Order: sequence, then C-alpha cells, then structure tokens
Amino acid sequence: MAKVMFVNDEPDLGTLVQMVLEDHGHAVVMTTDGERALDIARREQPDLVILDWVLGRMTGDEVLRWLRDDPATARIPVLLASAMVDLHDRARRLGADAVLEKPYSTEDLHSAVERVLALRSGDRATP
Amino acid sequence: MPDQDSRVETSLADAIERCRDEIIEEWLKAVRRDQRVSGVPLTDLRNALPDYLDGLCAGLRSGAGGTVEESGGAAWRSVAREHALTRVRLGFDVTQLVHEFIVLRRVLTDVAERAEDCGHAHVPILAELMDAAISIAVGSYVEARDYEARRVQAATVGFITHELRNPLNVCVLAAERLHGVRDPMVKSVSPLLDRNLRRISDLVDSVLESAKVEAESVACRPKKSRLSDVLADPLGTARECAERKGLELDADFDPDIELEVDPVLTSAALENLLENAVKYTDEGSVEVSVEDRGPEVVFHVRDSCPGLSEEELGTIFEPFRRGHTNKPGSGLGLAIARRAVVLQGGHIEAESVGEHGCHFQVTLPKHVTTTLGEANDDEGDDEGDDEERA
Repeated sequence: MAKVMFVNDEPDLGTLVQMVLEDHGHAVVMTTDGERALDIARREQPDLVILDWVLGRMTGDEVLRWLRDDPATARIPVLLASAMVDLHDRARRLGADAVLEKPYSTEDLHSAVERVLALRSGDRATP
Repeated sequence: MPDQDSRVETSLADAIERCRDEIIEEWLKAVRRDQRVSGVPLTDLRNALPDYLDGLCAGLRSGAGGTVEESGGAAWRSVAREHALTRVRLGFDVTQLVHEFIVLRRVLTDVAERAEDCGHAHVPILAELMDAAISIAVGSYVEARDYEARRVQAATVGFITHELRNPLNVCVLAAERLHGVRDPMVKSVSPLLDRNLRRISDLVDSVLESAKVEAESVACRPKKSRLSDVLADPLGTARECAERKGLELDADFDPDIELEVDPVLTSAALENLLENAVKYTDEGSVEVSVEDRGPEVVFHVRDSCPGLSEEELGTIFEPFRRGHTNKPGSGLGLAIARRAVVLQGGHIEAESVGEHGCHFQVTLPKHVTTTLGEANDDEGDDEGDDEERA
C-alpha cells in the first residue's frame, strides 16, 4: 500500500482516481491547489505525487520545480498527468519520473503508479 | 530598342537607389494619411518596402526587359509573400494593399521624372513593373489570408479538442467503474459506452494531431536512416491490420536506401496511408513498393478498394473528407499524411484504377531540410513553453 497525493483541479477526475487507487489498496490525499500540494507533500511525505500539468493558479511544472528544489520533497516520485502529447522529454528534464497521457484508463493509471512506485525502492538515490 | 530600354532601366535603378530614403519617407507619409493605418507602428508599416526597392533595382539592372516575372520574379514573389502575410496579420484588406502599391508607383514616377537621364521612357517600364508587382502582391495576399485563416482555425480546433480530454478522461474512468456491476442493464450498455468513448478518444487524438500539423507547429527534424527503418513501424502496424482482415500485404523495396527524412512525420504519413489502404480493402491485397529516383524516393501504395470517383479524388486529402463513407473514420488520416509529406517538401497524389483499387504515391526528397515549428521547438528551453496547450 502506498500513500498517493493527487494534485488536479478537476474534482470529478479526482473522485474517480481516488476510487481506482483505493481499490488497489492505496491511500489517497487530494488537493486541487498547487501551493497546498507543496505543504501537504512536506507534511505527509507521500510515496508518490500524481501531478496535473495544468492547475488553477500554478502550473504543474512550477509545482514540480518547487518539489524538486525543496530537500524535504526532492526525492518524492512524481507522475505527471497531461493532455498534451510529446511532453515526455520536457517532463524528464524537469525531474518527473513518468508521464501519464490523458485520457487514461484504469489500467493505464494503475500500471503507471506501480511502475513509478517501483522506482522508489530502486535508484532514486541517483536521479 | 532593347539598348535604349536597358539604358533607361539602369538610369531608373540609379535614381531609385539614390533617392531610396526619400522614396520610403514620401511613401510612408502618403500611406499614413489613410485613417485605417493610424494605429500601425511605423516599422510594421514600412515592413518590406526597402526589400521591394532592392528587388526592383536588381530587376531593372538585370536588363531582362522590364517585366517582374522575368527580372528577379522569384525574389519579388518571396518578398511579396512575406509582405502580404504581415498585411493579413495587421488586418489590412486587399484595397489597402493595392493602395500601397499605387502610392509607390506615384512616388517612383515623381523620382523618375526628376532624374534627368530617364526622360519619359520610364513611364511604360514603371507601369509594367508596378502592374506585375500588384498582381503578385494580391495573389500572395489571398494565399496568405487563406493560410492564416487555416492556421487560426486549426489552433482553435486544437485548443477545444485539447480541453475535451479532461472531461473525456472522467467519462472513461467512470465507464470503467461499471465493468464489475452485475445488473443486466448495466452489462448490456457498458460495452457500448466503452466502444463509443474509445471512438471519441480516437477522434480527439486525430483532430489534435491534424490541428497541430495544420497549424505548422510541428518541427521537421530530418535524421539519417535506412529505408527499412523508416518503413518498419508503418509496415508492422499495417500487417497486423491486414492479417486480421485476411488480406495480403506485399512489400517490395531496397532496405538499404539511405534517407535523411523526419522519422516521425514520415512514419505518420505512411502509417495513415497504409491504414487507409487496408481499411478500404475488403478483398485482395495491398501492395507497397518504393522507387529510387536519385534525389527522391517514391512510395507507392496500391490497394484493391472499390475505387474512387473524380470528385472524391479531388477532396480526399482535405480534413474531414472521406472517400468511402460506409467505413468508420474521422476523415483526417489522409489530411495528416498530406501535411506530413508537404512539411518535408514532398507531395502526395492519388489515382483510382477503375474498380480495381487506388494507387497512392508519396514523393519525398531523400535529404529533407530542417524547419522549426512554432510551438514545439523547446530544445534546451525549459521556460515559458505553455503555448503547447494549443
């Protein structure tokens, strides 16, 4: 079981993702706000952040930069969810561990989460 | 009297070069009297005029008889196109564009009349040059206006389609929540929901791909590769589809032909072309062959579809046009193929072989030139690229 933080400004999507992840035995912390996401990440130390590229007040890449710049959150794996294609190279340069393209299915979501969580016990020490 | 003409042309070119700044000033003064351009910055207004004057002088000096088409026509055309595009973006209408040239003709005539060695012989030469210039400019303006309209439309469609992905994602996940429900009604509708959401999703993907290519936000980045590498993915996908339909897919090409093409664009073009051939062939075969024509390669795709009418052949590469309407599809595959080929400096053609099928032909230069897209060129730049949303 992992603690997953889901950062997305679409509450409906959040509700469904929470259901899917809880079905797979994960605990989910949700927020729709980028700044709040940083506070929660520091406090809760989730095993994984699923971060949307487009948020209300901040963009996903800003949140990602902050997460990576803060020693308290720098090593938390991040799965970047986006409706944009061709984002992989850029996401990697910014420090994301993987990209999840929208629209994603339950299976896409589940396998992306498992893949990134597997990295946690692997080689995060040498990014 | 070609010698006399040639002397007049040289004198005219001398006079224009001598009075270049004065011509530009006079022209700007006259053009700015038009209230409609009052808000346009001076730099934008002046825009291509210095290049026009340079092209005009070069044409006059080349002594080719004073017609724009013959004397430096290509250079003029290129300047005219650029100028027309800026005018379209500034919101000029065609009468404003023509007015600019009429003013230029008047200013040039004044300059020529003041130049002692031009006499009156300059009048027909200038008139012919300016008529041709107006004709090129108007043609370029119409082309540029259509191009701009297409680009804006594609960007808008792309943005809306992109925004559809979020609610679509909610629907996909919600529909999948129904999979475990045992209620007979839910069990009967759930597959319909899945199938149609998949169709919407595919359509959204196609529209986004098409809008992106149409808006020319795609960079063309050629890479050295062998023909076998270029064809590997498109052929693999097409073979799978052909096998599922019980069709034969024959491929005949020299795998070692060396190419320098954009792998993504080429693959998109060939994949769409082959997918189209397999989709519309119910019996028989699909044949792929590649012809080496020295500086070019020609990909031939022949299928055994029921053929296309003249009218269908005329519109088949336009977005949302489909030749055979009894098959599902977005009508974007061939439009994407065409743009992907054109962006690399190639061209695509289709012909119907009566009731025996169709023949599609893609001609690509072996060495494609690099061009950078407007939105996607983010190499080495992590800042401020959020325009990718569209």
